[in-house]
Amino acid sequence: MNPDPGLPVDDVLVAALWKQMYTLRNVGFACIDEALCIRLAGPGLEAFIEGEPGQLVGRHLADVFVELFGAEQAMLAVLQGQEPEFCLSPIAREAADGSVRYLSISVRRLDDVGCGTGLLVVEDITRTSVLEQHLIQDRNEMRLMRIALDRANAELQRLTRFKSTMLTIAAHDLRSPLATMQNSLEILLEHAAAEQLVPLWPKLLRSMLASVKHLLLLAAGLLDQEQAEQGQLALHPEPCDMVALTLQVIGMMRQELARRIDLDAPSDGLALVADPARLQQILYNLMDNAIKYTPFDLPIKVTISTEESWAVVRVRDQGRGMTPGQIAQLFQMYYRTEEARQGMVSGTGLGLFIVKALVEAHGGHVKVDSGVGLGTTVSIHLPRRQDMDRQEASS
Amino acid sequence: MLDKLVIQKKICMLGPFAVGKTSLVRRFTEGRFDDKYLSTIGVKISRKPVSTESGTVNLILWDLAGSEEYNGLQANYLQGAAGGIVVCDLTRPETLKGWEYYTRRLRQINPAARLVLVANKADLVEARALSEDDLRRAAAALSDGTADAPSYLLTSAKNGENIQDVFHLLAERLL
Repeated sequence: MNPDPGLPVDDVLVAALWKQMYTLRNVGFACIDEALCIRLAGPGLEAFIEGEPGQLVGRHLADVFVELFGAEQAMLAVLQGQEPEFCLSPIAREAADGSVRYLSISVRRLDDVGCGTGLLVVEDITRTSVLEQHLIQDRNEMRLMRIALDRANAELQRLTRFKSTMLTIAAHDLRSPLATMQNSLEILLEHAAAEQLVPLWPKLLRSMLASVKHLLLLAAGLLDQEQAEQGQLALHPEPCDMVALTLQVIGMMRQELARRIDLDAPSDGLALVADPARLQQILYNLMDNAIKYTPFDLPIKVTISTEESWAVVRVRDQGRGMTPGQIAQLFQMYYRTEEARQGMVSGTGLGLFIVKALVEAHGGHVKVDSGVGLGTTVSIHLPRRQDMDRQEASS
Repeated sequence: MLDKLVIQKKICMLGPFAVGKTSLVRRFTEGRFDDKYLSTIGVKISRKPVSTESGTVNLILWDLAGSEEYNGLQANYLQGAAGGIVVCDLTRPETLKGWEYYTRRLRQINPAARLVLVANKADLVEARALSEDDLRRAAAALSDGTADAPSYLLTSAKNGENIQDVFHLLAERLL
């Protein structure tokens, strides 16, 4: 049956064949004029129109295909023969169900028809574009994986270096107290073999005990440093008195090191909620550090006070002081000053790193005031009791 | 009373692959986020109006592929763009070079194009590899004295941080 009685049968057949062919090939076309309006819509074009196609002839291209909005100058340049073609490919159109259709839209000049007349071709290129998308997707995912792998490698290398450094330091620091203990034991064994009276024994045993304590401290420091690196420093807060804890540490250090430590603290104590063992560790590290850098005949000074919501402990040495560059590196793991590295001052370079980690784990912070020739004061600021109560309540 | 101005503008989303251009557009136009990475090929176009005090801008957003295969084709895609949003990924320092590269590409074709620079994935705090200084320096380097100095914003398509602000800022610059 002839659907259009106005057309001869052959023309109807040809039109149907053309439409079928364009549909099968997923291609549509239109003839456009110098004003970029559609003069003739070819079969298959409607399949590429978003929404209701309506009347296409006479409409501006950018109204029919939003993809062509903004490209008017480029398309006119083609129609005027200044450019051979204008093409956008691929263009992804996402349907409501999430499926994606890829199109290619191009404009060419129709030289045989007359100046300013052009051919718009719209083609469905979903099949090839999906393959292309998969290839690019795979390639990009591999690139992202490589970036992640590079980062993981860098972190692994850093950790390896860190472990290696830690082992070197541990080996170095273990050697000295172990050598002391070995010497003492050898003397003790000689005495025992000779069944000699041993007035020297208490001194040797004290020396060995000091070496064992040193080893224990070193082991604890290495463990703390590992935990601090992993962000896993464990705290057991409870009500305690900062002044009493400080006095205990000072007593211990006076006995061990026979050094003068001056304390200026509130007579009625300073209450706060903190981990008392960790506070003693902080204080021990700070005082030990200050003693190392202070000439033997000079005291170090410890001051305890409150400032607004903070409990503040200041430990001041009378050493050479530091440059701003040295201060900037002071809390880095394994950082030691030139003086310390040259063997004039013993240490692992972990003490202040651990102090900072412990103070921050308590919600506090550390400050350093120093200048060359002026000595160094390290201050720790810890939240006072009420703040800790609030933290505990919120946690 | 005067009617408010309503205009339509083409905006290009630009930047290296996987910086989150498609996610920014999806968050802005559909209010949703998908964690899965799906690389864009060619271009995908979305539309959304933005109202400002001066009027309304119907933004036609061209989400362009970031993969280098399409760099050569971008001239046609960039035709007629009134503005651009150039995106980098805060967790991938190498993507910051994209601010300069894509800004230059856009300005070659549209010297008057308005720009907003975006540093995306601000929610990935632990993985962040670009500092404020890095961003400030890179943005300042794009001010050539003739074109407008582009502003930059830190965004997260995942949690929506600053997404509306980016498009609103650009719309205001277009009016």
